[in-house]
Amino acid sequence: MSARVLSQIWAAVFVFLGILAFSLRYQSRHEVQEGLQDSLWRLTYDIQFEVDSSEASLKIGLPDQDSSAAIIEVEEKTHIKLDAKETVSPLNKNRELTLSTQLTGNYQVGAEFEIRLKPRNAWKEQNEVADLSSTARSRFLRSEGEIDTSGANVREVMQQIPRGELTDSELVQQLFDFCSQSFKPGTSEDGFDVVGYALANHQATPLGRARTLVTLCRAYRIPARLVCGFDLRQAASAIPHVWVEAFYGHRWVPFDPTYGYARQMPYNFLPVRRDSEVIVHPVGGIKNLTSNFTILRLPPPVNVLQAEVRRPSQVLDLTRLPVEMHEVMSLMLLLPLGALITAIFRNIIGLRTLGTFAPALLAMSFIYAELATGLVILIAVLTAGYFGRIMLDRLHLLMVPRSSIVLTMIILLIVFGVSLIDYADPLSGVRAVLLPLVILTVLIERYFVTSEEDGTAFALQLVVGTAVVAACCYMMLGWKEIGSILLIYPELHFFTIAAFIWIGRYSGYRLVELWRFRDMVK
Amino acid sequence: MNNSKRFWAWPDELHRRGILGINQRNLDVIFECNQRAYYPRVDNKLLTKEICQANGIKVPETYFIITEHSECRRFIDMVGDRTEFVVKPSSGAAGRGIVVVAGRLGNGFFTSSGRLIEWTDLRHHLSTIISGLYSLGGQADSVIVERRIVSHPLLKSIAVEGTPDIRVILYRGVPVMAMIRLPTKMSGGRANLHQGAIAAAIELNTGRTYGGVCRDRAISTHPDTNFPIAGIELPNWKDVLEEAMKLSDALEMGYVGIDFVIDADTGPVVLEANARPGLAIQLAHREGIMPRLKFIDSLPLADRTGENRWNVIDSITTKSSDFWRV
Repeated sequence: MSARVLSQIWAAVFVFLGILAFSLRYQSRHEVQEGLQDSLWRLTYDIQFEVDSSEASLKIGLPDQDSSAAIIEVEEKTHIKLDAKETVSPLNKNRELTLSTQLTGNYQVGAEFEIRLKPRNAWKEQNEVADLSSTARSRFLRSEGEIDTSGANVREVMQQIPRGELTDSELVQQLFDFCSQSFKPGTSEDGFDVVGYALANHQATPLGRARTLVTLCRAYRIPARLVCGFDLRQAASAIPHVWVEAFYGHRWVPFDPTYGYARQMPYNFLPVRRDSEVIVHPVGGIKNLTSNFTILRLPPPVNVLQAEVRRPSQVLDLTRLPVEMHEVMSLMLLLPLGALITAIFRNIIGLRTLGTFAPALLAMSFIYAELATGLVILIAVLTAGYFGRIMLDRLHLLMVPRSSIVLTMIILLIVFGVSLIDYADPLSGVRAVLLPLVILTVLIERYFVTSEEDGTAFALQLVVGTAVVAACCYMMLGWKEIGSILLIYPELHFFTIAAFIWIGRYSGYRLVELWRFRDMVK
Repeated sequence: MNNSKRFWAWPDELHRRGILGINQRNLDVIFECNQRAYYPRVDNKLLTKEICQANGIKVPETYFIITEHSECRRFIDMVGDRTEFVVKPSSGAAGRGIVVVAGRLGNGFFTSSGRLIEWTDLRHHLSTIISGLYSLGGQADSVIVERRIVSHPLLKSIAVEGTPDIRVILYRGVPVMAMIRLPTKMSGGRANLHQGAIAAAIELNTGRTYGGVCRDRAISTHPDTNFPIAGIELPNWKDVLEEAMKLSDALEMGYVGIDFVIDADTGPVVLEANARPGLAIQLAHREGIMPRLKFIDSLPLADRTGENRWNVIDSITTKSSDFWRV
């Protein structure tokens, strides 16, 4: 098998390994994250009623499978003599269980839902863009029963809040402010559920506030509806909560005049029935209806609770290391990318440097020190090293001792340079960096040999090349986000290896050759 | 011809011209043809010399070799009363570390360009070589002191200073391209194209020069003398090719550049061989090397070995340039 084919196979293998390892880790991280962020709840319905006529039926609202809540498990315990039919209402998209029977007697019905709440859904997902048909529009504008848009008190409010030039959004906000602020709490026993009565006495129950807001919206010709659902929190006997949705700007926008939420409901508010005030709605022939709702928080999955258990597979997880090691580890993980830049510059662009990995290592040492200090030290060191080397040239020393003198001089210079900077500004936090010294010494020596052997112009060309590559490496190595991604997903370096294989088999022209051989085309 | 306005060539243009790029040279030619194990044969000049001598190929006569720092002291004794010699590192590349002594005044040595080197400076240079400053990879090296080649008078007349050398590139044992490198003032008397030496292509069957390059740009006259560099007929050309083929066979390397100088008395002498010859030779020819390599590959083994190679050399040069642009 030729080296070319073999290389392609290996590159493909590394890409495959990269994808495989990355997706495995992504998935397991995702699971743990979900387990930590999401919460599991059990919602239980317990409904008792008596049927006294042969044409009885009952509609039970089932929780909405919306973006923040996922129903994991549903268990319905219906009575043997009841016919159960699950439907979705076309207008409001309510999921309903319709129970009907022709036999009189006492009935008990239960349902259990396991709900996973996700905290991180965006506003847009919660408020789907939609358009209302004219039927729907007239339905959500109608005046009926408790929602009486023609009442005297309603007209009074409409005089207080003139429509004027207000946009729908501004108007609904004003109505919402009105409903949340102008009522004192009241009880339903005193009749403060009723819109007219509440408006007259400036006192309302939560239901009264919601009804008032819907009534006012409809009075101003803005489609609106009540939403009945649960505020998910642990409760042995949960009371369904009612809020409002107004339709404008092509979407249903939620408002809760009781708790003050507007335009976005907290993720733990679980809608059950829209355009309704109750969860369980008797249609006819039902007596003594009682419904009890229980909400219970469930424990997270086992893998979340056991995340800290020592396992050999944790060796592959670098984020588990102590935090102070993270910086060094991610810098090390960035170094191959520095090498990648070096390889691209050398083999694809064709820029030559003093020493192969010297620019990348130099850039790495600049990351350790802070840039300004690094530059000052670099310039000082290069100048001192350069002149020191010129002086030493006359002594005719052997290479290793000569370079060592340059190294020693550079070290002395850095030590006192750091001391000087600290003396001038004790708060500068200047750091002495060991790493670049040897590299710089070698670079100075290489520069001298090259300028002697191939001319100063060529040596300067190499210096510029070194500076360019080092600057690019510096930018790459200083990229904290990439570093932390690599710390989480070190397997991304499988792709780096694949890239190295590809560059290693790149037999096309280098960019500088397009310039170098330009005279060859006529 | 509007190439003076062009700042770059497109890859497919270069490809059509058969230009070998450095990546392709490394991957498709050097990796394929040259066995790593044989590299010392060209990287170590002492070994190259031994191989040459074993195969009856002329090399500059070695006076002595220094391998230890302690031996440097005895250099003057070893040189004796010689006034002309060359000091070179055994593993140096691209002519690095070579000092050509052309004259002597006691313990003062004069280089071919007239610079005076004191004995202390020369001794320092010797120990620098031994320390490995010029060797590939910085390994400890040895110093070769050998006879200074006196260039053939014809070549001397076109060289400004220093010695012109001839490079022949052989592919699978067959010479495919050759050029002559002439030192210039800019190159400081060294035949190093990096430093501004110029090069002219050599027609393989006749040994006549044509084309020309200086610092990667096409030229036709010597920048110092304005003397045309095309049309010079090289002396002993057949001998150069003969020796090149012999050495290439002995080295067992499929892609090798062999550097010659033509001595006034003894004719072609091998200076060194190179397993990674540069690509500027294509610029000197104003032609890519790829079609020639492909042509050699297309020939049956019997046609491109032994004496049959002379026919190949003929057909390489007589093919019209249109043929190469396939």
